[in-house]
Amino acid sequence: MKKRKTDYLMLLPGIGYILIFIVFAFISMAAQSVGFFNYTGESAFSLEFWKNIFTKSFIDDLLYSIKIAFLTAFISIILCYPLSLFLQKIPGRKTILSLIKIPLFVPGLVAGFLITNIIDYQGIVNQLLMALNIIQEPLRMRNDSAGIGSLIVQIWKNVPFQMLIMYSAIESIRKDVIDAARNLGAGRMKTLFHVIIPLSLPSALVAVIMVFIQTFNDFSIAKTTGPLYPTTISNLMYQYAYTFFEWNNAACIGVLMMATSVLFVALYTIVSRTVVRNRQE
Amino acid sequence: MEKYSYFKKNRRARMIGSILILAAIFIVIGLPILYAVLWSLVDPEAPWSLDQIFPSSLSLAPWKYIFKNSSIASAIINSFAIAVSTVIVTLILSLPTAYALGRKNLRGKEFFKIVMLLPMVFPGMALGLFLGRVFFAMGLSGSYAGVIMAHTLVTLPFMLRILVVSFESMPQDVIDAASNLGAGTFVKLKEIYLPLVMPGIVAGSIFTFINSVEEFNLTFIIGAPDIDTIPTVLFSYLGENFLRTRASVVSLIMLVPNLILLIITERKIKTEYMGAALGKM
Repeated sequence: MKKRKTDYLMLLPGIGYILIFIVFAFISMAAQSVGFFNYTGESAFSLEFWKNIFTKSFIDDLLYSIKIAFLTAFISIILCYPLSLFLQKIPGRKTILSLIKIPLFVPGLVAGFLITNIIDYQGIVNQLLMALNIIQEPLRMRNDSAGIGSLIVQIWKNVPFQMLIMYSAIESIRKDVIDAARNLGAGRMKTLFHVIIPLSLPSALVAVIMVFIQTFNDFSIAKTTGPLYPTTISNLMYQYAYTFFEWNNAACIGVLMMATSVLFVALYTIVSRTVVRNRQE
Repeated sequence: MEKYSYFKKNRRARMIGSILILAAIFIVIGLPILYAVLWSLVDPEAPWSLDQIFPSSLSLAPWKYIFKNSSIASAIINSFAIAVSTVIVTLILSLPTAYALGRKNLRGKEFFKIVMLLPMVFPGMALGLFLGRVFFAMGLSGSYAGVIMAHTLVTLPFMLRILVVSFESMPQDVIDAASNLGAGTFVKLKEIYLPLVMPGIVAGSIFTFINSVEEFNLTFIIGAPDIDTIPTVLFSYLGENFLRTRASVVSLIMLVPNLILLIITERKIKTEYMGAALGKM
């Protein structure tokens, strides 16, 4: 019994540290959303901030965050699928896989800047399109109102991440399952749509959920390459806190973001459990 | 073992496929980096204009300017000092916890493994703002200790995950054999656990280092106004005082160490650690 106790004591440094600060941060956020811990003025319980949080800019920013996150997650996975299939058997795939990992090691801010160089007024994309007479004037792709610049940066950053997941998901499909399908007369297309895609779909879903939530919560890429308005919900929260000093409103947004995150992580946990179960069968 | 390929079994087609993919990688990943290198070398006397494919004259002036007139030199020292400290603190905190989670039969293990991931679930900017408030109350704002503690919080989940995987994958029979031969706790720790967990420690340290150097949200809020790191300097060059040549210099300063670490991880680190580290949730 005494030994048991030391086992639990060993959990303290890691789990204890995380628990203390996460709980503190969450309490500070939740309490501020209902009027406590104010920097200035009275601190008292109030639901006023929650009533007033759903402004036009909140709705616009929320829709923008969802739009960018959704487009990033789905365009990336659509690019990933054929790429992961092609890569399975071509020569030099080890080198190719290593090279594809480069964007994973490029910090978000740097990625935003690198891509901006290419797509900006003076960038090679505009130069090329103008040289080919497709456009007369350079296109505005950085801080553009539709968020194309941000979207390109996010896709650039997230395709390699999803590739890692999808490549190993497709690699782990057993050859005998595919052979069985082929022996039963399934053609290449049929094998693809009835064997490969269904078997790798749970992994694809995991990849999509992870990229969705990361992009949804993004602050810095939207701030540097995205439109001024609307922007991501993280940016709105930051503005509330540091531009308008309305920390209570920022806290309400924080609570909503946290709830969204928890929801998606729960979804992710359920999906990844089924992936593990499928692999074991 | 043969793997599925969506390609026809045609060597030439596969060869062409891999050349095409390599070319695409060069355009999508290589070109943005090359452009940043060129921009960082543009002579301020002879600006790079829209009609030139290549800058007309190259110079080291932007590099000299950045090192002379910005806080980049101290930011580089800050970034690396904070990253090394974070690695050490994170390692000390996670080793006992990972050992308990990886090797002991604990009640509620699944629960602790979920708690372990909480810092990843908390949206980055929300954590920055409201942990920032907690740290402000504790008098840790704008101090190295505060920044290191915050970095430790967000890097712990990755380190814990990697170390738990390496403790879990240790062969029990080797440990049993040592016990049977009369090895005491200390001998077992030194001769068996340490060498077996070493690859995990190396992998975890590298990822912690990278995550700490890249970390923006928390440093931006908690380190302000006194502590600049490379990402916060870059952010200022991408925001109000955007100047492409100077931002290029700072981007490259941040990119090069990461690319070196990528090469090291590709050579030395097993893919399962890569999965544990990069799976953001």
